[in-house]
Formats: sequence, C-alpha cells, structure tokens
Amino acid sequence: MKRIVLLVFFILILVSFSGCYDYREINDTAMVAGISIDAGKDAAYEVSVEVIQPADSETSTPKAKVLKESGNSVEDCLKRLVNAATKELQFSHCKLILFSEAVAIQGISDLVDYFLRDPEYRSDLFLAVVSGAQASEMLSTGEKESRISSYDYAAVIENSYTETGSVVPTRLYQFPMDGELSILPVFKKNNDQFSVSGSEGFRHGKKYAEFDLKFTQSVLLVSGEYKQGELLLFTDDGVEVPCQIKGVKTKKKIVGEDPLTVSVTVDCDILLTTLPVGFDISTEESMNETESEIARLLTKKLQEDWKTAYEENYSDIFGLEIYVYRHAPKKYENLNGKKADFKVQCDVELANFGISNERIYE
Amino acid sequence: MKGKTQENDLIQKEQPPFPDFKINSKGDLSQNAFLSSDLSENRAMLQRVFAGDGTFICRDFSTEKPGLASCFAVYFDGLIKNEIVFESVIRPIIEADIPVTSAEILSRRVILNVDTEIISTAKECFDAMMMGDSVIFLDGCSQAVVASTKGFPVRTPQEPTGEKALLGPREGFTESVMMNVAMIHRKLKTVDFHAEPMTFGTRTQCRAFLCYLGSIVQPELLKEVKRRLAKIDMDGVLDANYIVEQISDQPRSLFRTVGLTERPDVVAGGLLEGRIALVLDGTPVVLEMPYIFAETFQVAEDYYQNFWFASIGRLLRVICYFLSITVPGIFVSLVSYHQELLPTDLALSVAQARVGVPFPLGVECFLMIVIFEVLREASQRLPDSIAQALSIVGAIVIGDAAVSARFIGSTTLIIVAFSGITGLISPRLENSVIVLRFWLLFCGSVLGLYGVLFGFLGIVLYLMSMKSFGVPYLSYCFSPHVQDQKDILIRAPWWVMRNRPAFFSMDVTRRKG
Repeated sequence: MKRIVLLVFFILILVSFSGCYDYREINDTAMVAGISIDAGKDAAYEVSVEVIQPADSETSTPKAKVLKESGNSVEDCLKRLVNAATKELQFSHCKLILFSEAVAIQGISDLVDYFLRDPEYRSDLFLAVVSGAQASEMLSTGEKESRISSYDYAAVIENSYTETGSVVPTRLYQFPMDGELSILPVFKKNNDQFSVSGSEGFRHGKKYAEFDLKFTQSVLLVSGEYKQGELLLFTDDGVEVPCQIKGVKTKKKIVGEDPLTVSVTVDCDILLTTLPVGFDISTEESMNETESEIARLLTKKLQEDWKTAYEENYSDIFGLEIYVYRHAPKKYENLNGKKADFKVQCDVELANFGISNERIYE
Repeated sequence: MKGKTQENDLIQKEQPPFPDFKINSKGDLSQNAFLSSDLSENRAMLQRVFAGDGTFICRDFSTEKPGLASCFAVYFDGLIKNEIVFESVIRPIIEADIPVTSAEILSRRVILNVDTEIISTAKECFDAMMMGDSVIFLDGCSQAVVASTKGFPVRTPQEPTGEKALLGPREGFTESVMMNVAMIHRKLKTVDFHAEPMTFGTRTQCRAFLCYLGSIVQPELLKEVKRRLAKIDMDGVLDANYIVEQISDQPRSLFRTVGLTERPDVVAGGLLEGRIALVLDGTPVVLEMPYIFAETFQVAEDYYQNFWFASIGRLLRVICYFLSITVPGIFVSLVSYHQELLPTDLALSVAQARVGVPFPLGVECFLMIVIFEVLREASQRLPDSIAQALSIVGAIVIGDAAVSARFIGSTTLIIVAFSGITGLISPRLENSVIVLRFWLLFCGSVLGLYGVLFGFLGIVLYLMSMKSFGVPYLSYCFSPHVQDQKDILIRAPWWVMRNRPAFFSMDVTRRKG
C-alpha cells in the first residue's frame, strides 16, 4: 500500500513538472524564420513574419510564405498574425529580426526588450536594419525565389563577420538596454537584391550614425573581435595596400591619467595579396621596413576612424569609455564628461604567402 | 538434488521377492531393495521395472570355461557405446582365464574399464543405468558391477554462437556436463579447483557440478550459493534457466543477476576472480555467480586483443546501450514537446518527413519498434535462407513502401533503426533493452524530456537497489577507487590490473604470478 501511495505521489509530481498540455505535433506548427518590423501607415507598426512551409515530398525544398499584420504594438501585430495563420506559429527557430530605417530612428529598445522577455525567442537571433526599403520587402525576396530569406541573410551576417570582418553580428541578447552604444548591420537594396552596406550606430536604442564597411572593420579590430578579412590601407601617396588580416590579438590598457588615455595594441598577421608599389620584401631588412610601414598605416587608419567616431560624433562606438567604466570605475567618474584620449599601437607581422616564399627569405 | 536415501525403507535381502518399486509423486522410487543373489530374480525384477521401456537391454552371456558363473549385463540402448560394452565388458568376461565367482574379482581383474563400481541395491543399479553405465550381474552374487560405458551422442565442442570472438579460443560448451567440466579443468590446472557434484530434478536427475577455486572464493558466498541451490525442489531441470529463476535475487527483474556463458575461458576467468560456476548436464550454458551489471558490457575478446581496442569497443557498447534505450524517447519528446531544442535544419526535415503521416509521433515510434522486434524475433528463429528473405521483405516493406505510402516518417524510421541496431551490440542486455526502450518511449511521449529523465532515474534507482548474491549489482560502476575502474568502462592493460574484485574474492591481490 505504501508503495502504491508513493508511486501515485511520484506520478503526480511528475505530471505537475510537465504534461501532455505541452504536446504539439511538429507538422501542426509553422516555423517562423524571421520577423520584420516597419512603421505602419495607419497603425504604429507593421509586422511581417516569414513562415516556412515544409516541402510536400522528400526531394523538394521547403518554401517560405510571408504573413503581414499591422497594429499599435508589436505584440498586437503578432497576436493578429497568430490568429490569421492556419497553423500554430512557432518562433523558436526565428533567426533574424529586421527593423526598417524609420523604426530604427524611432527607437528599438522597447521592441528588443519585448523579444528578450519572451522565452519562445532565441536570444541569439540576429538584429539588422533595412535601409532604403521596407523591411518586409527583404523577407519577401525568399517567397519569390523559393528560398528562406531570413536564414540566408542571417548566414550573410555571420559570414561577413567571420570571413571579411566587415559586419558586427549583434545578437538579441547583445543589444544594450542601458544606454550603451551598439552597432547593427544595415542591408540596402541594390537591383532587387539586398546586401550588407555598412553599419548603424545606436545610442539609447535609437539610430544616430551610419558607418561604412571599412569603419566597421576598425571597430572590430579595436574591440578584439576581428576574425579575419580584407582591409584596404592607403599610403601617404594614396597607393592602395590590400591586406589580408588574420590572427588578431588586441590588448587594452589605461596608461595616462590626465588626459585619461587608453592604449590599444593590435597585434596581427598580415598577408599582402599583391605587393604595392614602393614596398620591398626581398631581404629581411626590407621586410622589417615593410612591416613597420604597414603597422604605421594601420595605426593611422584606426586613429582616424576613432577620431571620426569619438570626437566628431561623440560616439564611443570603439568601446573605450566602456572599457574604462568596467575596469577603472573611479577613473571613469573622474572623467566627468571630459573626453578620454586614445593611443593605438599596431604590431604587424607579415605572414608567409606561399608562392613568393623564396623571395621573402632570400 | 540426489534423492533422499531410503535406507530406512530397505527391504532385507532375506525378504524376496522384490517390491513393486512404485513411483512416488516426485518421480522417485518409493522403495529400495538389496539385490538378490539369484540371477533370475534380479533379471525378473529389472524386466518388470523396465517393462515399458523399449530401450532396456538385458544381455545374457556365459562360457564353457570352468569357474565362470552365468551372468548378464543390463543397459539402455543409445545411452551406451556398443564398442565399449563389447570390448571392456563382454569380451573380457567371456575370455576370462580365472574363475569369476564374485563381483570383486569381476570388477578388479576381469572388466577392462576405467571406472567400475560395486553396487548392492536396486536403486544404485537404476541410477547407474540411467547415466549410461552398464550393470553386470553374476549368478550367486548379491552385488553387481557398474562399468562406465557411456556413449550417448554428444555434440563436439564448437564455437559458441551467442558469444563469437575473432580472437581467443573458439571452443564452446556442449550438452555434456563432464566434457564441460573437463574444458574448465583443462584451463585451471590447480589442486585448488573444486567441482562438487550435484543433481537437480527428481525425474530428470540432471547432473551438475559446482565449480570454484577454494582459496579464492569467499566462504559466505559459497555458503549462500549452496543454500539457494539446496532449496530447489522440482521434478525436471532441463536447462540452466530452470535454476537461474530459482536462485536469482530478483527473479522478476529484467536484468540478470546470474551470469550465463557458453565459453569455458569466460568461466575460467570468472573462477579466477572468485566467482562460482554451476555446470549443468544437457545445456551448453554455464551459470556464473555473482553477476554484476558491468559484466554485461564485457566480452571475452576484450581480454584477447590490445587494451586500446578493447576499451574503445567496451565504451562503444556502453554508449550504444544507453542510446538504444533512450533515443526513441528523447526523439519523441524533442519533436513533440521541445521543438526549440532541435537544430533548425533537423526540425525542418522532421516536419517535412511527417507531412501526411496519420499517427502521432509517439504511436508511430511504438508501431515501428514493434515491427522491428517482430522482424528480429522472426529472423532469429527461422532458418538462415528464410531469414534472409524476411530481412529483404522487411527492408523493402518498411524501409521504402511504408515511407512512400506516408504510413510512417523517414526520420522515425531512421531513429528506430538506429535504436534497434545499437540494441543488438550488447546481446546480454537484449531483453532488457526492448522493455526499457518502450518504457522511456512512453515516458517521453507522455511527459516530454522530464519524463525521459525521470524514467531513466527510475531505472538507475532500480539497478542500485539490486543485488546478486549479496553483491551490489552496480558494484564498481560508481566506485571512486581507480583500481576498481580498470575493468569496467575500459579494459586496462594486464600489468595495471593487479587486484581481483574485492566483492567476490578472499585474496584480492593477484595477477603477479
């Protein structure tokens, strides 16, 4: 008898932990791949979702369908979409949220907050801005071309970050809610195709500046999140120096008190894809000179980009004030609105590049 | 066990004729009697007792030579070897040059047999005949001589089908108990080897030997095994499982607490670790006691190949066992309750595969597992040629037609096939795998991942509560001592395994020569 009571008790506990009410057949749900949020004409927002429709047969590929609803809040729009859909919408596989330019200017903090609080959304989905077109247009490209555009564009963001270092892949959980600065990638429409055109800086959740792809590379280099990619430097004479950067190690250190100076050392391997005019790597001595010259050019570029962002736009997009705030809060308080200084030092090592191996080490 | 002696019921030889030898409810003789000195009386008694047995043979023979009394030999046709009877019994008696006047002379000086015995009661006579021996009666002598003439057909040792090994010995036990004991004895050439004779079943009189190494086995363990064996009371023991179910700590359990093996090397290895083996007549399987959970993942080949490969193989078996029981349950719970945990591509392909399938995923999985088990069971029992045809039909019908007809989803088919194949890797756990797979599938279908987790915890708790002859069933599995772990998940090199398992053996140090 005691055993039976224990068993019943155990089952009751088990059922209270979980239960059949959660049950849903996977083919009775519709997976949402991406969401776009535009400013509405009649209402505040116009929300579109890209829904994946599983293929009818084993050999065919899944298709996408875009559903659109407008409402006074994103939640309102999503509820309307749920009611309109023939299947239960499942947001757990959503990988991309797109904001239109108008919404970005208006502010996206509340929207990001809404998605962060809802446990059904993955917190690692990408955020991006669509410039020069409606965000829903970008989702609709998949519907036309029989592909799932949200997943494709999410892959574009990821690849651009890891392969070219020209995009900051901001995920949902990385978007700052406390006034810190953030960068989101921007997609622009060119000949009916959307591609990454640069980045937009956000302060207090609102767009305040636009940056091109090269600027984004500088931000990633200084922040230490640069993986690899092509970087175009220019000599004082305007000669192009195309560099392929790998193995970036960035170190930051507070070195000066008045003015507060943050020293950033960027240590990287650079592969010269073509040897620019005026550069020589035939001897060890000339190679050292070339390395020093490239390091100088890189330092100059980073310093200039920092000046553009920090001094002209007063944007700590390079995260140096945040660094001071986190590592020396008292010094940050002493700043008291004053600007910090930034000293960058690059240490470059030319990487061996295959075919011209013999020439380098002659 | 050997029937109780019926000394009290003995009828004095001065009280002929013989009793009726009625059979009691246990199939044993209700009475016993001394043999008569009158040849014809003995013959009449035997013919009366075995009147219904057509294999009973009574061979009379005599000679003209002086001093040789009339005699006859009795035996069962088919249980003896004719050549042995002729060469070692009949010919020596007929050609004897000395006067054969007593059983003593007959046994010691005439019969040319390796094993003879003088008996004086009817029951001894019957028992000897049942074992395939011949009994020779002399006129004027109230004793008879038993000569070992066993010659019933016995299978020669072959490679065990259930425990195949690419390396190591290929011999397996046969149905002959003596041959089996000899195979073990041949590997353990020590005076420490004990083989205590026993019999089981009042009607079958199944011979058995309890084998152990006296200086290694724990006396308490031996005592407990003997106590449980002594309690067995049944009329027929035809196979090892008759004994297993009666001496197991948990006879209703899905898991074995008594080991079964077809390999003499495995038994010898077990005895060297302090285990006890019971060798039964009529079955090519030997029982090993105690038996712990970790042994289910060990195979003989582990010890005959490089320890790296042996360890990888054993780890694979462990992993596959857990995958086999958990994969269907986890798959159903993920797809039906926790779709967000699935990688997107997998979720898409599962959703795509399930379009148009009429059954809920849990039911679909259940049906597929049942079909798989039906096919497996059928192919196991059928002759090879038909089994192959069955496999092809099963593969085509289930693998192709059922998926094309949207009867089942292709992902479900893959999951069930994977679970089925991994379940076959540990044949010793095959039976428990089937039941546990259904149990975790049920838990996963009704309660999701929590269900699988709690279902699995229930299995672990159950295993932890089990014992085999007083030894915890999960012994060594969670032991913090490194020495104990050297033959559990992996097989450490021999030079590292210096100790015997402490639970079984008295002297734990070993393997140093």
